[in-house]
Amino acid sequence: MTELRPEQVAELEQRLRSTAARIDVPEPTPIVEHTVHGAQRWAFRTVAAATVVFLGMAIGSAVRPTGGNASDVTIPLRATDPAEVLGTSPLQWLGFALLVGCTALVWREGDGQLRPTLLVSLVVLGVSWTIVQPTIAALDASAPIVEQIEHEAGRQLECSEWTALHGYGASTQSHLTSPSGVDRTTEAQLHNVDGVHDLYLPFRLLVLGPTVLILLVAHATAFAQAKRAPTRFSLWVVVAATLITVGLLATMWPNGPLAIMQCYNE
Amino acid sequence: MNDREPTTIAVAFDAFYRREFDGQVRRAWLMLGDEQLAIDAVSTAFVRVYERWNSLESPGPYLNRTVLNGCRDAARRRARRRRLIERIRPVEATVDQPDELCELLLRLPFRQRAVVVLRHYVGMTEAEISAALDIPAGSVGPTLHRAHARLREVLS
Repeated sequence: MTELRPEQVAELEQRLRSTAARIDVPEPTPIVEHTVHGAQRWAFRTVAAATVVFLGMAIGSAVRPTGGNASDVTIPLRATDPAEVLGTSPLQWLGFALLVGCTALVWREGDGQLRPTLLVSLVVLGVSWTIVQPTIAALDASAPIVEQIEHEAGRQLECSEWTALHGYGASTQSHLTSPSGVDRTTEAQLHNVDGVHDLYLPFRLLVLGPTVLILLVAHATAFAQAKRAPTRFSLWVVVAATLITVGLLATMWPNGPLAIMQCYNE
Repeated sequence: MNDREPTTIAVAFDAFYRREFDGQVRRAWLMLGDEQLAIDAVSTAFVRVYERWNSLESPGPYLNRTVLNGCRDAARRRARRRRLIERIRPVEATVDQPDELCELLLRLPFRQRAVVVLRHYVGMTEAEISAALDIPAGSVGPTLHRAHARLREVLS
């Protein structure tokens, strides 16, 4: 194991010991009993994480451009109230609270330190949710009209037709065409849905995923900076958060997975 | 964290803390050459151990690893700071080095330094060093070999 001679090893060990013995180590400071209990710390961290997420939502609300061309504004494109952004369903509130809780859990399991990367991740999470919610609302509002169009066309729309119907034929994707045999008044109804012109599939797909992505970033960050391997518990938390996100999106946007699968199949 | 009474935890942890503090500071000093940095690294590690006290089956190895991580971070920060300062004005090393061996030890890369201290001061085996530093067992021997080659010049 060593190329040093035994007497050199002995000398090395002796000199290390004598050097260490010369250090004047202070008496350990008496440990003060912690008065903050675990549950309080958890509550504090959860509230702190939620605060940062809502801060992100506020930023998202402020920076998101207003859009749409409808005369009757029914969809909040510039939401300022978190309740308006998240929707009013108790289930959605519960899901969102669980996500924030999961983030706090992962953070706690990492090293419990408020790292800049985690802070930024949480702000991005808030911004993403703010942006995605009106998009989902516009899709929900347009879904019955799309069904009516499919009924009139006598078939399911192709992805390109769906995109064209949602207002891109005239601007960015002029090669796309609306389906034939569709009553133009129905199509006009679709165009009257506020926010529908802001929909762009790749963008939407990009903003639908960030919740889990951010959680994964938070997860990796917390453990990388603590220089520890992720615990089994934390991995389960990430799995749970993924399922919650999928469930939450399913309640907020029931037609979403079908639309994505339809485009994917093409 | 709360399935035991807080007072019981404090008593058990306090005993552990008093037993380990001195030795941990001395070995951290050998790796950092700076008393304040060593005390900071060890104290931070004890806070981490306290936070996870209930979930740790054996706090000793966890403390060892956390102290080593703290020392590694402190050494990196110090090296970075020194490089920045040297861009402005070349300076002499400011660590308190009681002898030639320590001076040379502090010039070794952190991993070599840590392996030397753990092997020859703490008396760990290669397997224990591998676990404490979170490095492959096969790389402990070569690392020690390189460190010995550098240290040989100050040994009689």
